[in-house]
Amino acid sequence: MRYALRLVVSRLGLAVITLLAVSLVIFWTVELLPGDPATRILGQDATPERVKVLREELNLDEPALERYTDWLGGMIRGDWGDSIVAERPVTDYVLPRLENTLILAAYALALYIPLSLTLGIVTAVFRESRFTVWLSAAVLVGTAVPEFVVGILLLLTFAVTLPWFPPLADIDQAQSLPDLLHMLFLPAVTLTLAMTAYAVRMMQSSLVSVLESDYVRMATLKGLSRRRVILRHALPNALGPALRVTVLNIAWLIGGVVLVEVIFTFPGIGQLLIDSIRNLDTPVIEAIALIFAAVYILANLGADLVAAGLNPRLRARAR
Amino acid sequence: MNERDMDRRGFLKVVGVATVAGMASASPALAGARPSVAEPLTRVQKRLKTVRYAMSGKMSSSDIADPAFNTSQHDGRLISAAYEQLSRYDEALRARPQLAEGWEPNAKADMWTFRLRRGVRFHDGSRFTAKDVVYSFRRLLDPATASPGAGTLAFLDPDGIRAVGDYTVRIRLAQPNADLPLSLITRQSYIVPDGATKDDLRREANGTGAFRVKEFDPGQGPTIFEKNKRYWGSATKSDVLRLVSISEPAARVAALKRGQVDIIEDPPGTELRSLKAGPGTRTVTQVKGNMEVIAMQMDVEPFNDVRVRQALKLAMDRKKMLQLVAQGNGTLVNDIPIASILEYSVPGAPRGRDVSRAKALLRQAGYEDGLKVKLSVSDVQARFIEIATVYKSMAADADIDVELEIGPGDTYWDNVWLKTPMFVSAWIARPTDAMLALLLLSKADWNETHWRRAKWDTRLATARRTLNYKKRQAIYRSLQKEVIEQGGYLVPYMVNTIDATRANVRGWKPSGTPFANFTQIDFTS
Repeated sequence: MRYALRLVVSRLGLAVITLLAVSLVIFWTVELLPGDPATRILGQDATPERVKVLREELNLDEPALERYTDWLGGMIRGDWGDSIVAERPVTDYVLPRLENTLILAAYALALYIPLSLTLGIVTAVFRESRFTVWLSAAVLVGTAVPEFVVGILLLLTFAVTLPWFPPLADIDQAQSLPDLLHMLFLPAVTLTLAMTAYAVRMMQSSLVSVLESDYVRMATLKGLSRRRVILRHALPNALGPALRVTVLNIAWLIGGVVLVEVIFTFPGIGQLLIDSIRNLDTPVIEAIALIFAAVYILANLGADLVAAGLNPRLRARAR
Repeated sequence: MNERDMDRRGFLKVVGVATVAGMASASPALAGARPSVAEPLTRVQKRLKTVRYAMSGKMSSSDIADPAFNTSQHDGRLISAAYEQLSRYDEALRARPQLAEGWEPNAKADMWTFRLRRGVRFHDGSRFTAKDVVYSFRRLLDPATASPGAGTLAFLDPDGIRAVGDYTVRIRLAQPNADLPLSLITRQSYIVPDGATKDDLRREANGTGAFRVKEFDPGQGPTIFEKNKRYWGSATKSDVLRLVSISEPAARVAALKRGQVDIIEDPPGTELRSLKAGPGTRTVTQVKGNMEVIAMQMDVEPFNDVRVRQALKLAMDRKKMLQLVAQGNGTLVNDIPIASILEYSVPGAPRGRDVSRAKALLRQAGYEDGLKVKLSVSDVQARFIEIATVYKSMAADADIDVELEIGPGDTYWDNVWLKTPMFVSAWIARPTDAMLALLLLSKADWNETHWRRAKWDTRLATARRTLNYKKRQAIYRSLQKEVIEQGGYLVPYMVNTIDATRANVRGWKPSGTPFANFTQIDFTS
């Protein structure tokens, strides 16, 4: 138990340090962009008076280190500053969008985990069968087709030709939970398909190599049921790579779903980031970048801990 | 954050409750009538008629409800629904009274008197008077406001705008202008209450328009309008207008076909036929003057020779161009970016194609062995590449070799437009005088063709101060004829504006200008 605790604490500490480093990078990147931030933001409208006012608003005359600690302190306290363009708190902008994206991401993950796990196991266990060959081919095609093509195809098929699902994922219009799930089904499936393909490949190949290892053969020879061999002995050891992929997928879900957001007109955080970059709205960009980094680091942390939990050797030492 | 979120969720709840309440109150009324499954729903819809309008552009956190900063597509829609100007455009872009009941110029057309409408109230309840008009225009002209509209209105002198009593405004001009009510219409010159600042209006629209803004959260979601019950004119036919953005064309069409929205802007050309045929949808076409043009700079060889310019114009087959580039959705026009729907436009059929004459002109100009020109273009806008490619093949028949220089879209307006000797450009319809001044005055910033003739400039000034309509029209027409004959513009057609709606939508006309009129939208049962 003490070992487990130490593991958790040390990983948590590392995560915090990484996050701090990332925050420094984000802050300095924005700082280091060419030109004075105030003139950059104002662009062609940069009259000396307006630059002066904005410089004061952004506290640009204070030393950079002080501004960094102010900003970071604010982020921790929940005071994320004001959007320059809209002149209102950044939290007003980012949190509702983050909430929407998290809902969609959770939905996609809820479809993705059982789907990729099942497909991975099926394709590995029945790797000789014809069906599996076709399935693997389909998965390969799935890996190759970008998600915006999948999205458009799903949209045209299941929203236009067969009117089963609404083409707009207008989350504000949802009246109930079933309504919400129905509305978000197509974007969630698009995301799921994009993620599943790769994860199934990883799952399959690692499970195959485990299934062909000596200790699995040993377990089989000892007369354990096939089911027990696969689920209890082989699967936990094969999950590691699939978990890594899942972590990458989670990070992608939070940040990289812009194209899917556009196709289904979903008010997520990706579109907000693009809009903010176009408007050079630095406080919003900084906040979103930090959120992405935090999600990524947290997902990694979670994967590490789960992997440790699954690993029999680590479990044994923990006992 | 919590408060805001509560608002959003709260609104959802209110809508939900309202719908349920509507159903509940509708059903007793139905109990007496013949029972029908379909009826309750239509009854409810009738109680709160909601028009769902999908624009093609994106919404952004930089969107703003202050007319002085009206530039984005969203703001154009919001501001035309919520605010009004002294005058408005009619179909032919003539000035018609809006907040002004009428106007009179003095004999020299340098002093105008506007009589204002009485009994008009702003959305916050305050009375509309002459003070608001004076304030609105002075605010736009004030450099401290930094409105993008200040340039277009630069002919106004802030001190020349005076209130005479509560309902009369006098405008004294440095240069006479016989069409002042027309020149006053800009994207920014909407009337706001006296003293309203950018901070007041940023998110809280306060105009006199037929719709009032109920929900506007820049870049965060749909903008929702409701009927202005105190509107001075005839009330809007719908109760609620919901403005959403669907920037992906396929999704826009899908949303319309599925009935998630009632009106969509700018459906992709490939979908027009299926949308027109339905079921459930139709297209609405409006003849508006959106024009793609090819500009030649008249002081650069070989375009400095009028015969070369004419040969290049004669090589163009307009009818075919319209068919190939715009699928026939448009009208042929003369070689000047003045929409043929305008009152001062030059009537008559545009120039036909004449390849042998084009060749003869080129021979006279000394290009016996054919002519080589470079045409700069980019895919920055729809139809640009197409127009250039089709023109290249047409010009080849007249032994003119048009070499296309295709550049990236994101730098086209900055680095190519106005800078190379021959390029593709585009214009939306503006009133004749505004367009001539914008593109063809010697000193005009956007003088694409380098048309610089002092005499022509003077005659434009003459047209402007000529109060007699017939005479004014004659001068404007002769000014245009000169450009059509000798200028550096190749303008094949103007394109219709096409929107698509649900089949039960009535009263919507797509707008080719930044001004939209949502008040007449209605549903048939």
